[in-house]
Order: sequence, then structure tokens, then C-alpha cells
Amino acid sequence: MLERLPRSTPEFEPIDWSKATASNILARIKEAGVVGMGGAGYPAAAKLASGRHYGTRHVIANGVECEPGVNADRSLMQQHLSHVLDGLRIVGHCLDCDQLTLAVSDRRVHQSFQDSDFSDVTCEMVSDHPANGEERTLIKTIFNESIPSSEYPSQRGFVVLNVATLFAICEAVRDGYRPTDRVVTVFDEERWVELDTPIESLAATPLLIRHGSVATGVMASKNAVVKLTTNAVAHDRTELARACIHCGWCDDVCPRYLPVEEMLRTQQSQSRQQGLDAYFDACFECGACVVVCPSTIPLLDWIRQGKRQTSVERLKQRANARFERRNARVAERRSDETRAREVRLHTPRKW
Amino acid sequence: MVIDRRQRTTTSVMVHVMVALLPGMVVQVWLADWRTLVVIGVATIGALVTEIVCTRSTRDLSDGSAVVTGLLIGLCLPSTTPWFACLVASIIAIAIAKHAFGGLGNNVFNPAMAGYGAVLLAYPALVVEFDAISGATALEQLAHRGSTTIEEVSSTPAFGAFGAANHEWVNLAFAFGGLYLIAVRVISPLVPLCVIAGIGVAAFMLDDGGSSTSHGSPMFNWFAGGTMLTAFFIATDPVTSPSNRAGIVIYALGIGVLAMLIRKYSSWPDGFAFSVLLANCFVPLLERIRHRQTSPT
Repeated sequence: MLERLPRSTPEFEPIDWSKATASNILARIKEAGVVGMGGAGYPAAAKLASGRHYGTRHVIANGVECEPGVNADRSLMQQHLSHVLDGLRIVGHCLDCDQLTLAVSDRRVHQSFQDSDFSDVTCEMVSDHPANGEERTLIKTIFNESIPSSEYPSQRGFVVLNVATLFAICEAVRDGYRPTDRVVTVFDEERWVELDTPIESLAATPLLIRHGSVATGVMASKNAVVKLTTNAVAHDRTELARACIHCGWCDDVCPRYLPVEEMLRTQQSQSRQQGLDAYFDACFECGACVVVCPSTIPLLDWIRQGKRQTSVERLKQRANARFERRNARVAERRSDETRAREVRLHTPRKW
Repeated sequence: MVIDRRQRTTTSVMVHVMVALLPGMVVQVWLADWRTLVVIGVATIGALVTEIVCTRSTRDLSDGSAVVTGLLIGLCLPSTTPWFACLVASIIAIAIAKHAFGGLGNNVFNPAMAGYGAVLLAYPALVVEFDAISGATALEQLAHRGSTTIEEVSSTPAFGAFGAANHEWVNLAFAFGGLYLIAVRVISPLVPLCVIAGIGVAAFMLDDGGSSTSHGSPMFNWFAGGTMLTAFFIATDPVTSPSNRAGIVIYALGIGVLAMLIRKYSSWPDGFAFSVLLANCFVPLLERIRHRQTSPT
């Protein structure tokens, strides 16, 4: 069992959710400030409101934790599975949806779910392929429905919430607590960490630290703190990186079939070729390529850099186009004025 | 044993390759003589020392690629090769073919084959292969046999049960090691399959039933010379092969067909060094296939 600091008295009045109205529950979730704890940090209340607006067919608890070396959600489920399932039921009640699914990739969690009797929730076991934790891939895997990248899953009747988010929702609604701590994998070890703990204080070593998992985390800045979206803190491995040997394993593993190796090559040689922008946009940063890379190259750092360049380029182009439109407009107006002046000049005065 | 690619590093990949080379190495030493060990040892040590000199550090030694290059050179060279020729081969391989191009990952030509090929051209008389038992090897006899038919030439002791004498067992052992590499997912089966198919198809089309101009059956060519070593260990070098599937197929088929053409139409008994180097030249071209092939989803 992970040790958790004892909680103070509840901040809010506990709600008997099975009798409460949806708007009451939503207001409470909003008031408690619950956001997506899988990493995106999307406000949970906004997601549920959108789910109510479009009508929801399936609510999915996302317990597919497939970032390498991160076990925060797994240990949370092992310790507090009933809380997570209650959170799922609360969301289901709030969205008038009784198709509740718990998606896991861990055999032991799946086993402990089957040992206990939860007839209202179905448990789906998916592989721990590094991309399965992403919500669209998960929906595709379980329900075989693809959601275009231009739409949210909630627009197609799916609401996917991370299990830690559901845990927080359960505590906020049922018990009246604001989320003030979460399970974080701190250098391969899971523990409850209070929010706003400086990340530097978690590390005993002066090595560089990544905010997030080894594969998908970003380099932590000096005064970074643990947030609701922090699922892991890991050591940086950039020092260990060797040259790319073009094994092509990153291309093999990419769930979007992107030419990762080529993207790395153009990025490293600073010779960005035309036509690769779409590839950089399509990457959803699952980190699968970083995991398989035998040379431990921080591929995702390079791809993120490429994404930034793409968006900066795009902003430049947009600004340029705007500027040229304005110039054309000004020139046109000026020629209009000149023409009017000419006309005035050559019109004979009446008197 | 880790079959999961997630746990792999460059070093562990190279260690897997070394393990897979072991059976072939043992059989080769067993069937030839102890001098094979000297050749392999000199080539490997030469490669290691050159690597240290070129990088001026020992950091890159730990990735194991220099050892593998040295081992491959030692396995290609016959046991009668003088020590300085082995040294020259490994120095050219590491210093010129690898580090002059920018080190591991940036080399255009397969280092082992560049070193071996350079020695083939520089000392043709010294590295012509003579078996301790049977004199000239089967491929050697086929290349310089005058106007004898296959039937006449294959009655000499240089020919074995289904391939070249001795070399058939060495080839089998390398194929066995290669299957191990496929089983642990270090290499994909595509490259060796295409190399073997390439040489098989070319040999089948050039085989006219055993006249004085034919060059043996596909079976003979699969189990003679360095076929299996090339198919499983040299053509599969990720750095010098294309990274898209269509490119890989063309590249590997090309190696097989070119090797067979060199065996038949040139005075070199075995053509793998030159066919691999020629195929390497086309890799930058083959890399361009992807642009038209895939579109982002």
C-alpha cells in the first residue's frame, strides 16, 4: 500500500450522487477544479458538459498506462479500484449513460476486477502498446470506431477519462474533497505526492530531470512543481544517446505510420524538406519510437522541435498573407481617392 | 532472454549479432585450421585499435560495432591470409569506410565489405582461397575451369554433398545463427529471404543443365562461398540498407543477382563484397521511394 498523508476535513458538503441532478454534480466537479490527470489537463467539467450536449453512448475509464516505467495509474487502481469505479458511475449517472467500460492493460488489475463482482462495468483488457493509452486509439481498439482528428471523441458519443481523474471526481463529489495530491511515479517508485511540491525536492541526484515519463516527458525547468497532470518524474537519458543506426524500428512501431527516422534526419541536419509538415502535425507524442530506439535518441524532443517550427512557419505565412492583403487594400483605397481627386479636378466648377 | 525491442540498446543488438556469429565461426575454425582464429583475432584487434585512434576515446567501443566489423572481416578472409592484409582490411573498414564518412550511422558503404573488397583488389594473390584439404575451392574451380562441364568439375573433392566442400557446413551454421537473429527480432526476415531469392533466381536462369558455361544449381550457389554470411549478417546492416520496405526488397534482390552475375561472368570466384558495395551505392536513391509511398493518416 502506498502511504498517503491524512486528509483534512472535507471542503465541500458530500453529495449523494445517485439522487443528485447532473447540473449539481457538474457544478461540484467544476468547483473542485478537477482536470484530466492523464496529461492533457482538459477541465473535466467541460468535457462532461460537452458529453451531455452531444449525448454519450460510452463512458470509458482509461487505465491503459503504457508509458515506459510509469505505474501511477496501476497502483492507484490496485489500491482504490472501488473509488475509481464509483467515479465512473458518477460520470455515467451525470451523462445518462449506462455503458461503462474500464480499459486496462495490466493483467493483475484485470484479475482483481474479475475477482470482485462489478456487473455494471465491463472491463476491457488491451495490449500495452505505447499508443493504446491515447483516447482515439483506445476507442479504435475497443469499439473499432475511428474518430477524425478534427473532432472530439465526445462529439461521437464517447467520453474517455483517465482513472486518476475519475478517482478525483469520486472524492470531490462523494466525499467533498478538492484534489490536493496524486500518485506519481518518482524515479520508478510510486508514491502520493502533494501538489505544488517542487520537482527538485523529489530528486536526490543533481542529474537532469524530465517532467513526465522517460519517453514522453519534457525537460523540467528549474522551478517546476508537481501538478495535477504530472504522472511521473524521470531521469533524462539524453546523455546516453548515440548516433542513429537507421534500424527503422521507430518507423515499424509508429501507430500513425510516420517516417520517424526521416523526420529525425531532416530535423538534425536542419534541412527541413517540403511536405513533412503534415507528418509532424500527425504525431500525437505517444513516445513509442523513443521506447524502441536502440540508440536512446530523444526522438520526441526532435519531433516537438519540428512541430514548433511548423507552427511558427505557419504563423509567419499567415502574418505575411495578412500583411499583403492589407497592402493591397491600402493601395486600392489610395487609387480610389486619387481617382476621385482627378474627377473633382477636371469637373468644371458650376459657378 | 529479451525479445521485446523496448529493452534493446545498440550494444545489446551487437552482442546478439556476435552470439549469432558463433556457430558459423566454430564450424569454420573446425573445418579449416587454427590460422582462421589468428585471422579473426588480428582483424578484430585491428578494428578496435583503429576505432580508438579515429574517435580518440574509448566511449564508442562499448557499442560493439567495431568488434562486429572486425569479426565479419576475419570470417570473410581465408585462413591463409597474411596478418598485414587482415590489418589493412580492418583499418580501411573502420578509418575510411566508417569514420571518414562521419562514424556509426553515417557510413554509406558497409565497412566490413569495403575493407574486404579493398584487400581483394590490393592483394588478389594473397587472399585467393585455398582449402587446406582440397586445394582450390569449388567457386575458384568453377571460375577458372576452362571448358569442362559441371559434371566433370563437380567430381573433384572441392565439391561436397550439396554445396562446396566444407563451405556447405559453414553456410548452414551461419544460416542457423541468422535464424536466431530473426527469432530474437534483431533483423527482419525480409533481407535474407530476398538475397537468397535473388541468388536462387539468377542461378536458376543461368543454369543450363551443366554445360561448360553454366555455373551450378541454385542449391550449390546457396551453400558455396559467403552466401549465408552475406544474406544474414552483411546485407542486414541497418545503416547501409534502405529503411523502406520496397527499397529493402530491391536492395536485397540486387545483392543476390549481382553476386551471381559476378560469380559467373567475372574472374572473381565470389562476388558478394562487390555486389554489396554496388548495392550500397543505390541506397540513397532507394531511400527516396517513401515520399511517394505513404501519406499521413
